[in-house]
Amino acid sequence: MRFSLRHVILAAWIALPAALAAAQPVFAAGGTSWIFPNPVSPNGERIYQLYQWITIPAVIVFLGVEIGLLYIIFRFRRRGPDHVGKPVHGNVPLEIAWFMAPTLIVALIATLSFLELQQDFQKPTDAETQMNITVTGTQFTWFYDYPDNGGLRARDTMVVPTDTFVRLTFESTDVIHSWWVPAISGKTDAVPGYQNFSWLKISSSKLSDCGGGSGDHTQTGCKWHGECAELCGVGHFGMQIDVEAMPQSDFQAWVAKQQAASRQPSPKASPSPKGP
Amino acid sequence: MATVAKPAAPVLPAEYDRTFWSPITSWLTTTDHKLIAQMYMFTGFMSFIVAGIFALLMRVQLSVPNNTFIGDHEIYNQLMSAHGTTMIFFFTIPMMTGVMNYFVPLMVGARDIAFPRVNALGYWLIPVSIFIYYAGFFIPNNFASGDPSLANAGWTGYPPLSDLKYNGSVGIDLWCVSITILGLSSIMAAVNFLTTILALRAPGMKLTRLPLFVWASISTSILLLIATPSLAAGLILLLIDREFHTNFFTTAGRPVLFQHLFWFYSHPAVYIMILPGFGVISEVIPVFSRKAIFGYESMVLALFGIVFLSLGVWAHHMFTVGLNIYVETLFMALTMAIAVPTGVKFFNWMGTAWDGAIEFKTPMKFAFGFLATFLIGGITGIYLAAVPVDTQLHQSYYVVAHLHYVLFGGSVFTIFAGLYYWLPKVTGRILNERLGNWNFWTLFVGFNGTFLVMHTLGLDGMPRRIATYARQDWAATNFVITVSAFLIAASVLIFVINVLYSRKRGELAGPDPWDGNSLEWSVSSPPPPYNFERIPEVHSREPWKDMKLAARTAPPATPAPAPAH
Repeated sequence: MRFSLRHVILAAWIALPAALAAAQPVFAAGGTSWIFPNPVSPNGERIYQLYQWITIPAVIVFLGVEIGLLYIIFRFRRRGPDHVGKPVHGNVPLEIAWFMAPTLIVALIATLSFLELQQDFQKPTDAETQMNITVTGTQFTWFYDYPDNGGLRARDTMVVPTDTFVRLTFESTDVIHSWWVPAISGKTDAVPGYQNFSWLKISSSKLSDCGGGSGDHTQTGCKWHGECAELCGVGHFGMQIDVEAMPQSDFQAWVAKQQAASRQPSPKASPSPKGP
Repeated sequence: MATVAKPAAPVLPAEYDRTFWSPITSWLTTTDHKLIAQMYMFTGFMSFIVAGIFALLMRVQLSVPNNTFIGDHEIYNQLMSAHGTTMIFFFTIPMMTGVMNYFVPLMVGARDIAFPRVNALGYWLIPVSIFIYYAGFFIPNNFASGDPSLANAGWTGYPPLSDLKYNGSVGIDLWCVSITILGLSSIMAAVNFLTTILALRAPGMKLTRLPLFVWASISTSILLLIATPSLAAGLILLLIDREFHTNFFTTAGRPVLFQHLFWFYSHPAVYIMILPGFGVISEVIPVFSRKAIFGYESMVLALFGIVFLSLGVWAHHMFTVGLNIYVETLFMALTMAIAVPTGVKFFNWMGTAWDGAIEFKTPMKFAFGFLATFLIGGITGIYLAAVPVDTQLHQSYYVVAHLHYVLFGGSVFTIFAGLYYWLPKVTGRILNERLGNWNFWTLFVGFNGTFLVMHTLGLDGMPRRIATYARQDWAATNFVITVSAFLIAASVLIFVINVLYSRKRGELAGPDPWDGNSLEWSVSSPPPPYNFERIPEVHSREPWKDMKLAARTAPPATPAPAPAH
């Protein structure tokens, strides 16, 4: 058989995914995986589970159709100038079947998604909330206000105690920003004019290995990283997010230290609860 | 036997010849749908090259962490906005309009489009629109001195980022005006296609006998008519906000309202860009499988299912802005429902090729390339439709990968399929198969190399539209993407070489190089200005195949078609 371009490309096309799969440990060592970073908050965990549930039909459909395409490509070649296709114009039962099959699959996925939406995407009630943090996006930084801790305001790094249900309220002082730490949960937009809500609860058990490597160790706990996800201007890429979780005692110490620091220099330096 | 004997050399009709090659004034004044269509396609393709160069510049910037290739992030934002705007508004939509402009009248057996002067105006608004958009390049920026002032808020231009208070760039104003004008052009084209198809069909060309490409044109036109005014409303209100200091979308107003108006157009726009491509595939696969289309009726129903559903899914671009979860559920369900008609079309294409006698000429290669890649875009679309998962994936590189699987896999592959299939009709010469083969495989490998691995970056938390990144562990993947992007560029270069080479030295096509079924193959290549000497009479969905059969069974006494006048 003649060694043609087609054979080279076909071989390359088969070799490419194999090479990518083989290179997986290399990517994974750096943290890039085909799946999310290990989630550390229950809402993030359930999103991840939903992702896995969707993956089952997705992989079946993907493999089934691609194999079907390859079968067609190799099986039904024209054998000569007189060879024409079968005179088939359609098959109503078959067409109904492949109308129904995707309908059922997406109905199932939509139902699962709806259940997860109801569970984790409502505004958290006051009863379940153990602590509040207001996240304010401003070109090009994030402010974190702690109304339950004497109006403390932190910048750049949000510090949270472990095992505490923290209600996050999102606000913006200028354009739309989006707060996203993939290891914690999905993103929420900070839109000027109204508030959005989300929550997190990081178990102390996650601190030993920082959620299976999705975060970095700090002196007293772990830090997870994210970025602003909505284009907000020339400094968009620099709107980095850090969330540091530490045990309750360390958190109280941090709060005391921050309050002392903000009281010390002059009352004016103490940041106001609202944006600049 | 089977194939009809080709003429030794295609004789360019004298009338056509004079029109085609006469001085540039005939291009400027023509109302011939075929010449206008070629200008559409040329404009679109030039935009494709320009926007592709923007993409390469961005990829060089992102190839390694903390890169300073484009050190000025204002410039990066302008490039990124111009890439999106140009690819969508100045490449895909004009390109698809061009293909429809050329072939809809030929396929329904009409001598020209219904309103030729409106057609010419519709085309000429596009260079105007492009000129207005790119005028910003020559105007110095008044807030970032020295930079040009192209629009810098992404192709979506969300306020308040695009409001005067946060964005003094005149580029945003130009963007509003430019895209509004382009929308006007789209509406003109849509009216023209609908009228042509409804009023100018050849005798016997019932709606149930229309080629599927024509049905795709109908559905595209309906979407354009319904959705485009909403985009114009959004852009004009934004412009009024900026120029007259009103508060529709400012921080004192309702920034999210703009997103509703914008996506009410821009989600259907995805289908405006893909449905003509679906039509191309529905023409290419039967011809190269030597088999009739499988499930014609369900194909048409599926088209209209997509039209109907796509008008009710826009808020799936807004799942993180804080909509009520029951509203989100509705949009999620409708979005997922689009998978059903799309799936029907997909399986019908497979059913068409099944048991066929397939010849993998270049158009067919691109058609199967489309099937293989568009499937991935469809599957990732389900992930994105599921609201909780979307909150993770939204605005990340996963979305960038998804939208390129849909729009590159769905539009660019189908455009290439259509060009390889129909350019012989336009130029009279077949594009070179060997170069076509290289073009396909480099594009297929380059495309997947670029966008398949891009999903992982999004899953790992890389947001889209960032001018640079610090994470070392994203470096390897980004470098692979950049290298693959240059493979795509090489592939497009091969296509350009192929077109230039085949224009002069390509194999002569004759009227019917692929042994086609529809009416465009019954006339010479290129067709005469009046398209049909005699308006053909249609008796089935494959009128040209019928005529060829009739000519073969009764060679001496071919029944004369109905006279034209």
